[in-house]
Amino acid sequence: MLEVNNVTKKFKSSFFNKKMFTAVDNVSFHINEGESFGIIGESGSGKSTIGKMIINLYTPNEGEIKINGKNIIKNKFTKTLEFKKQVQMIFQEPDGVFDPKWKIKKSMLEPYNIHTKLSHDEKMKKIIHWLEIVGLSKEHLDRYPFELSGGQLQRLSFARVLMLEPKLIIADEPTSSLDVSVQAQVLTLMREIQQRLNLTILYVTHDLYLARQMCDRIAVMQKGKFVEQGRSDEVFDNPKEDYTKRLINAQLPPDMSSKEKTAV
Amino acid sequence: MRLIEGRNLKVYFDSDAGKVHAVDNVNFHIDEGENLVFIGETGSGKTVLGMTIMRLLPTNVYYEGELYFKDKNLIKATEKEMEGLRGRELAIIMQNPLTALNPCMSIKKHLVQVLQKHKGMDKKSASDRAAEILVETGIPEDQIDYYAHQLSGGLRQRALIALGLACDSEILIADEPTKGLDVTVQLQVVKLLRKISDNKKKAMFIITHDLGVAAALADRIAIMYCGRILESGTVKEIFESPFHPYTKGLIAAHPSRGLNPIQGYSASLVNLPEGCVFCPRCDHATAKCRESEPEEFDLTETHKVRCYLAGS
Ligand SMILES: Nc1ncnc2c1ncn2[C@@H]1O[C@H](COP(=O)(O)OP(=O)(O)OP(=O)(O)O)[C@@H](O)[C@H]1O
Ligand SMILES: Nc1ncnc2c1ncn2[C@@H]1O[C@H](COP(=O)(O)OP(=O)(O)OP(=O)(O)O)[C@@H](O)[C@H]1O
Ligand SMILES: [Mg+2]
Ligand SMILES: [Mg+2]
Repeated sequence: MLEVNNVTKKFKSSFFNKKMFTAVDNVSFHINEGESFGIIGESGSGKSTIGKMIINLYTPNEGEIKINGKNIIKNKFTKTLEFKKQVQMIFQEPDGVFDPKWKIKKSMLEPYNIHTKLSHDEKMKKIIHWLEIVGLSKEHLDRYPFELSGGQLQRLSFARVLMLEPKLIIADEPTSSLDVSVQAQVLTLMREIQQRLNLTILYVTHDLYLARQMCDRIAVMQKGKFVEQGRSDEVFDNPKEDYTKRLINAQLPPDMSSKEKTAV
Repeated sequence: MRLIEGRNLKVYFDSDAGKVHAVDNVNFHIDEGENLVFIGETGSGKTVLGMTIMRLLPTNVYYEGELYFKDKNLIKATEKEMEGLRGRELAIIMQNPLTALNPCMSIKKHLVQVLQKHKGMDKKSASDRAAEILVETGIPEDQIDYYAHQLSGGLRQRALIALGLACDSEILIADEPTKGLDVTVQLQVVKLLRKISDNKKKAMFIITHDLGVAAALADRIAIMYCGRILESGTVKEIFESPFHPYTKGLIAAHPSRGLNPIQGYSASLVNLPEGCVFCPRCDHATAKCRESEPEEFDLTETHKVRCYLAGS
């Protein structure tokens, strides 16, 4: 379904400074249809940048990205609505997704206005259906983003992506603002939908417990490179690289032993 | 000494759908040298409670009850009095980085402004100190002049932490401070916060969804659900002998134990059920639970719970 081959992305360090900074360095991986692939690793190592290249928000400096065999770089196809509907990203920070001046209703209607020809009533019916699936209700539609909690916004941005029934989802920290019970509900839901629609999902997460639950295979990223890649259980039970071992050791267990671990 | 104390605190919002009961009849306190950690349901009023201490809520809010900072009732404080406290004595690490940071200002400039305003530093020393704090929270030196959109999510989060720490205030409210950080950086941040809390004059009000972070940072924990504190106790009491069915369900839902959510979703804060707010999802609910809301029962001197199972 998705093939990423030797992709590199550089950014200018600053407006005045011509020096280039390599955010993603020669990364390759693939994801099969219906599979869940996870990227874990260092903050600032280029995980979100990879996601943004796949949805064609950034263009790689080198390498190719193929979706269903089609190279998407500098391809007119990626400008089409069809592509945008099939490949969707759940962004890391939900407060960037919703226009602060719009009521939630307007932001939720927008994707349907762009991608479908449904009547207004049909759109509203579907939106409310998705809201209920993520544990929210009609009453939240009349609010502005600042009138909602972090986790409520995150679930709205989740619903806003799922309601288009895409084929490939980049889920960048999709549950970082949810309590563990609602997180488990949302992830269970994600699994059901994945099976029903044969969805392909790329998870980016810092939660190693979550990565292990949700991903068939994972890659560990550090400083723009993949340092290790493999089946999730193998990587977690038998980490090969030092960095992976360090990550696993730094996890805080959900009990009193994390107090000792962080003693200063 | 008692630094913060809420008594029968209620925070409501007006909305088109009706009155939103975001915080309802909450009692809590934080003493000098103490970290109180809030965990619980998303949308249960944790951020609203933190923002009430800062008095930074939008204008559709109204309050009942009392909220003391030392001997000042913050609910009654004027905007001018609050301005004097914010930054100096009360500081916050906000939950939403994109909302909290000005997109047209570099990360360092944010800190320089705070230091000049609240610490009375001149430009040069504020700039030096800002760089120092940013590097201390783990932002690479060549990125401290970046704007928010150029930073990765985790680096933006660290910028927010730096901003909260800059003022060196007596009370630090930290709203999901470790969200979006990789576990090695998370460990550093938790250690940094523990170092600050070793200072016996200060206190922290921490909100987190990460049970590991809660266990590491808390002296005491409060569990929030639908605007109420359903259970509170020492960190040991909560993790080793949780009492409330919601607390037990929450701890059991941690992803290290598989995906085991509590069934159903919480009630709307506009239309709360009669009786206990958790009873529609509770396996132990009886007729009594559906009729009236339980008061707080004391299990120990520190361990309190709002559940009829404790009364019987
Ligand atoms: N538009 C940009 N201009 C300049 N540098 C950028 C830009 N976007 C990202 N970067 C830099 O590229 C690097 C990788 O960023 P990216 O957002 O991909 O990290 P990440 O792995 O998602 O990290 P996190 O876990 O913290 O979200 C970071 O050092 C970041 O500062
Ligand atoms: N200005 C407002 N107007 C109306 N309702 C509001 C407003 N601000 C917050 N709320 C509502 O108050 C409730 C509590 O919100 P709060 O942000 O405190 O939740 P939270 O416990 O911090 O959740 P999360 O863990 O998701 O951040 C939510 O249901 C939210 O929708
Ligand atoms: Mg990122
Ligand atoms: Mg919150």
